[in-house]
Amino acid sequence: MRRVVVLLLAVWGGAPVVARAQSSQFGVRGLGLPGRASSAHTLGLGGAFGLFDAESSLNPAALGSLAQTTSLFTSSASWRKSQNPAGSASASDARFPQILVGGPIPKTPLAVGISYSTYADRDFTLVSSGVASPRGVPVKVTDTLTSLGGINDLRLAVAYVVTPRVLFGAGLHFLTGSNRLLSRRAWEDTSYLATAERAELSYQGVGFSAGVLLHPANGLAIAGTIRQDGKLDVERDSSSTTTGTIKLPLTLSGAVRLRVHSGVELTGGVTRRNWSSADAGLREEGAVGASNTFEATGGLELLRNRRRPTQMPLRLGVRYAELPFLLTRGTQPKEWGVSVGTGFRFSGDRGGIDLALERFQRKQGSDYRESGWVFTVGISVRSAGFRP
Amino acid sequence: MRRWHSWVVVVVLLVTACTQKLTAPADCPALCPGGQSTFRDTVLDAVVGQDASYAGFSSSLDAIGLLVSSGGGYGESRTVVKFLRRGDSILVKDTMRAFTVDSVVIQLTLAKRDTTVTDLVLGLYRLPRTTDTLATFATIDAAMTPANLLGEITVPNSVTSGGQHLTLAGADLAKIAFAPGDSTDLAVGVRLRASGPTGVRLGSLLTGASAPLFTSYVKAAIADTALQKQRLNRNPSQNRTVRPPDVGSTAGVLPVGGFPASRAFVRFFLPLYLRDSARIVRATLELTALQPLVGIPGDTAHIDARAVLTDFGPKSPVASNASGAVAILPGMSTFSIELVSVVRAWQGSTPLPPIIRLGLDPEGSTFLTPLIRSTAALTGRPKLRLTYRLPFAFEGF
Repeated sequence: MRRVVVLLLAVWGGAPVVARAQSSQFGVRGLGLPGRASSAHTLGLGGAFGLFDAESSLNPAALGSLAQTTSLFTSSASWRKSQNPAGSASASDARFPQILVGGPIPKTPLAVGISYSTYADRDFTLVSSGVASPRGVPVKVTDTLTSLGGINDLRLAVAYVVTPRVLFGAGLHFLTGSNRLLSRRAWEDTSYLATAERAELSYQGVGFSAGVLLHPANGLAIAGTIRQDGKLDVERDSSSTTTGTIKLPLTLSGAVRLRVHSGVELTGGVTRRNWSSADAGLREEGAVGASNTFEATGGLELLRNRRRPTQMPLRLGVRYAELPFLLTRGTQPKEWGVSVGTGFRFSGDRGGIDLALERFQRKQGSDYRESGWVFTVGISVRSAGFRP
Repeated sequence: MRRWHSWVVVVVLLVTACTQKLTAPADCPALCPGGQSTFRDTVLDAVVGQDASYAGFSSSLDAIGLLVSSGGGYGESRTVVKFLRRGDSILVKDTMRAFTVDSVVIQLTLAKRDTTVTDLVLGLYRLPRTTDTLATFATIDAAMTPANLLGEITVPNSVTSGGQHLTLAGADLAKIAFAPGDSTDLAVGVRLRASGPTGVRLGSLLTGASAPLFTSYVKAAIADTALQKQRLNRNPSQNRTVRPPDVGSTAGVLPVGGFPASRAFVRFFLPLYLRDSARIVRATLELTALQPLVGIPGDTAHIDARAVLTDFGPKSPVASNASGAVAILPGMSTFSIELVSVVRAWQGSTPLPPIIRLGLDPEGSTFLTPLIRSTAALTGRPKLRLTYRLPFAFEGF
């Protein structure tokens, strides 16, 4: 059986090379669908645990809670049904939204980590059919607009463990990525050649984050982060000159984790991003616009084994989020989700698997709707010497 | 790892390794970033005075068909066939031996005829052995006298194609006898008569099995009677169609094909906005003939349009990968040729000159001769209808 697992791991790692990033009609405009730099553990709790989670990339201070060198690989698969005035369709995709390596620096109160996350995702294919009338003669046409790629977030972070109850952290974020865009028209009358127009947008930006993680009392933890992303330079087709600049938002997050009962932990958090700072830059580039977002999350974790809390806990989460990039002028897109998750450790707690399943709905006005499932698995490996 | 842990891993990996299906319905332009592509049409007229037609670049000997006609819309056409030398001896049992001719058969293969005209008769005339490619129609026709008539082949009205034979034997062999100075060269002229003006196409040397054939059945001078009867087959050494020269370059007309075969060159001016950045999706060359085409009903040919690699006037070399063609039939007077590959070759950093060469395929083997209205004509000038797309600014968000 171990051989089968190893083989599947190899196939799994190599097969979906092109299948990266989440795709959604809500990722068509603006920079795309915002990514979630969270582990499967956090996603199972609706995202609320992210500021306390060393395996997520939301709070650099949380890195200080790593007891040994840890690496995490996260993969997710999504199935959804999209509806808009042109019709409805079912789609699916796979992505690798979170990769992290981190751990403590021996004999120091420091911990460091490097992670690679999805910042914004812009994979989509839009297909429409219609009639064009070149030369005054109606001809059926099929238009396809495809985008592959997105913006990734490479974070280098360090945490300082003042005491086991007080942790600070800071992170430097490098935002990089590209969109490969293809517009194609095929004609039913083959006298007309199919046309394709390609473009590649590349992005570069830098951000900074700082966070704190406090344990003021037994069973109570408080976390907060501030993140300021700078300007995102946009270049087209590798031109040497910047074709656009988009001012990225300031992010403020806070969360509380409370052990309400032995084996029952409750987590809640809120996040605010002033995406309206990007509005002007995006509009100049042809986008509809961007608005500030608010996100609220809550999670409940029921531990089956208090001595080994990572062994098959039940995680439940809820989430509400506003999406920053408008598809059309009018109301702001919104997203709701409920999730469930669990996980287990093996091989002396050196290996771990966390699972999360989320049911989500997205909506803007009455025209654009989307609902579906996201299944996330995180595989973690820790160095020897772990002491739970 | 516990056993159930392994199965969890297997299921998880299978679920998350599935491939993507990204397609969603497009609510464009509302949902699509960057706007919509816009396609436009335009019509380019050929540059006035820069078009011309030239003849003499293909040999009448290279035709894949031989034409014979009897006036009317077909004009007058004769076919001349020169056969390989028959020789005056034959190799039998390693020895060249003299022979006597028992009979001779001349075969012509009918490739196409007008079935509405009946009573076809092909007259075969013996021409002087000195007849060459410089011989004009008048010279050839004058040599087709009753005294030189070898015989006639009556083509049954029910026959539309196939071999037609003239057999000479007995006293008729004198018509084909060779004088000592003839070197056994045989030149034959073919004339047509029928119930009305018409034309036929015969197989030529280049068509292989349909080529004219001169067969002599002989008796060799050898004692062994089993070896006495021999047959000598001779293919043509050359064959061609002879017609009076087409009416000279009529003002306002670009002959394509005809006799001798002409090729026309038409020049356009491609505006900068089309040359640099437009994406041509369709380019149609529109031509108008001076009059409806005349030809054997059902017979087809093609107008072949090609880009030229460089402008050397009538001798401009043509591109092999940028061309278009349209089939033509008797009665047609307008032609549309799709030439998007040609026009695209005029774009880019190393464009070809915006010249189109028009030729007929096959050349010299069809009665179909488009007389294209040129830029000097008042109406029906060559024009190029383009559908194109300008750069599509879909890079927006």
